[in-house]
Amino acid sequence: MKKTLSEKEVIALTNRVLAESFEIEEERLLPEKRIFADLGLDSLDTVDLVVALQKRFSITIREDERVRSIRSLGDLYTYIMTVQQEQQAGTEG
Amino acid sequence: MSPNDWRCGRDFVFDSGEIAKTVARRGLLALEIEVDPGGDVREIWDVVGQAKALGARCVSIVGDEPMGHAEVLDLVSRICSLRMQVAMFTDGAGMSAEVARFLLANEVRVILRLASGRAGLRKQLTEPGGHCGGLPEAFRSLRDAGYPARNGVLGVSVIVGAENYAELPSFWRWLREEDLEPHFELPKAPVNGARSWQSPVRAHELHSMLRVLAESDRSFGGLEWLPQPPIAGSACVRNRVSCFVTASGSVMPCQGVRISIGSVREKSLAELLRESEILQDLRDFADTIRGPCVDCEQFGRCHGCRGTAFRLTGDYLASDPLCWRNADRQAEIECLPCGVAGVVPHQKPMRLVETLVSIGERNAVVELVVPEDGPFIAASGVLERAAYPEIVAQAAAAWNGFKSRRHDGLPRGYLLGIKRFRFDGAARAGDRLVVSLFKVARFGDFGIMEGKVSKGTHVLARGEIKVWHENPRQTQGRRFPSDRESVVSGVSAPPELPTG
Repeated sequence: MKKTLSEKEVIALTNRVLAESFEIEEERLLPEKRIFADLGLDSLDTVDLVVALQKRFSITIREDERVRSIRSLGDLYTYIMTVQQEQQAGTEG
Repeated sequence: MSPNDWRCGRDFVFDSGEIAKTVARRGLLALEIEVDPGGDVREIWDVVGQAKALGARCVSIVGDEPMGHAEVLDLVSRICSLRMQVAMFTDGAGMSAEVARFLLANEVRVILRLASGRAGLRKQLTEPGGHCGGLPEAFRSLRDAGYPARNGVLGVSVIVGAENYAELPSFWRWLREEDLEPHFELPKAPVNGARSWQSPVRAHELHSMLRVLAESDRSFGGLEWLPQPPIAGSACVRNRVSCFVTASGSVMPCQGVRISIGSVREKSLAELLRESEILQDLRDFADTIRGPCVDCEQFGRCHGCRGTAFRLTGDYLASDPLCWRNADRQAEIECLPCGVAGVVPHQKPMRLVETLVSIGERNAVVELVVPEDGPFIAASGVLERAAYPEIVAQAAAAWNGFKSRRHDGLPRGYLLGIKRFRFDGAARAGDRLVVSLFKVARFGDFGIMEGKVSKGTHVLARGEIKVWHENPRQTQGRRFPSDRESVVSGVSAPPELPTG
């Protein structure tokens, strides 16, 4: 059974993914930052971000309503926390 | 029992509601597990536990002879302690009176497998001293122990063939009279046997036989069922809520669709079930199956035998070539390998790929022969490096185009980017190249694929492409199965006899 990561660990790992994959300075990675408007990612970057997050957290991310509602980095942290808990419990949202 | 009731023996019955919920959560209702004499019982136990956590409540123990495993009875006992039902498929080895009593005490469904390709079915089961090993002795032990009983189903599995075809109706009737469950199924075709393998029983003969058996049940006990492949007395929808785990840990959709979706030694069963595209295709069969099955009045509650389709066509989503309803429409059932002209939008000389060879779990293989001339061939006759990402992209288009064949028009797609391409060597006009694709990830209509272009054993180029392609399934209407459907007991299962 994989260990469920704490919120702090999820934030740190997510930020590392963004920094490594998209060369975004760590100081810009704040929860209120909007992923597209503030951090400069575009729709083509989304799939790379998904792949990197799936690999880093060993989770499966599907394109669903919850994903589509993500706007800010804080939304993304919350989503990853939820998905890792669901998938470790064997449930799907 | 009405024509709309579909059962899998006395207990292995799941209604449409729980099937739908299980499909939605990518869970299980049943598990088929291969137990070989040398199998690691801890691994088997672990897999069963994972299946239980995913919702499974039935376990079919299969294999060459699962009773040959030294700890199989302990395993049965432990599975039963989880309040899961067990079906044991056996040739009868080691079935002493004591073992038979143990199995009955644990309410294990026992299915005795008769030898395939041999006549004298009843004799195989009842007359000791023949060519059937311990089967008659096992049968006697089971009956002496109290099988068949209310909580002890005893089934007999028969492979239908030319040798036993004539005696099947009388044998079926005898099994019914003896309160034994008949499991009649067709022999498994060899993989990629599409163009060479002939079933020993032709489609119309199978249809005739199933009609006779259905009539026999109607007159014998008022049992009503619709003759339809792949099994007598029921429909098979096991691919939606079940999986098969081999003795080496590979997970497959079923014993017929032998495509590994991964290993329980590397990932959890939950992860494998959640991530498998093949399983999802099979769960969504009403959207994904191609060919004449789609026009059948039974489609939605029957999808033929996926194992037969895969083995005969190389495509687990092809229509069942052995179903008599498809007998006059064989030309509409596509087989792999297949040419990609018409599958991809590209035309020569821009189209380089030629043949889609195979499709697996997140992977596909495509072939081509480097043309003599064209926009990708240098004056020296060497294939330009710029052609390799294009070849990989065209291979991806062929894969997606083939999977979308059911729908009108070709799906649109674009190559969005390439990454980490490396080159080692060159191909020349006339060289045969193999493109191996692996889908790293898919998110909506976007995907990332790893591609490898090889000449013989030498990899000439490899790298990653990012593509966008539309998924026609998302815009199509749907029909869903209804009522009650039988699912899994490892093989086919006829309707139950009325009790009392």
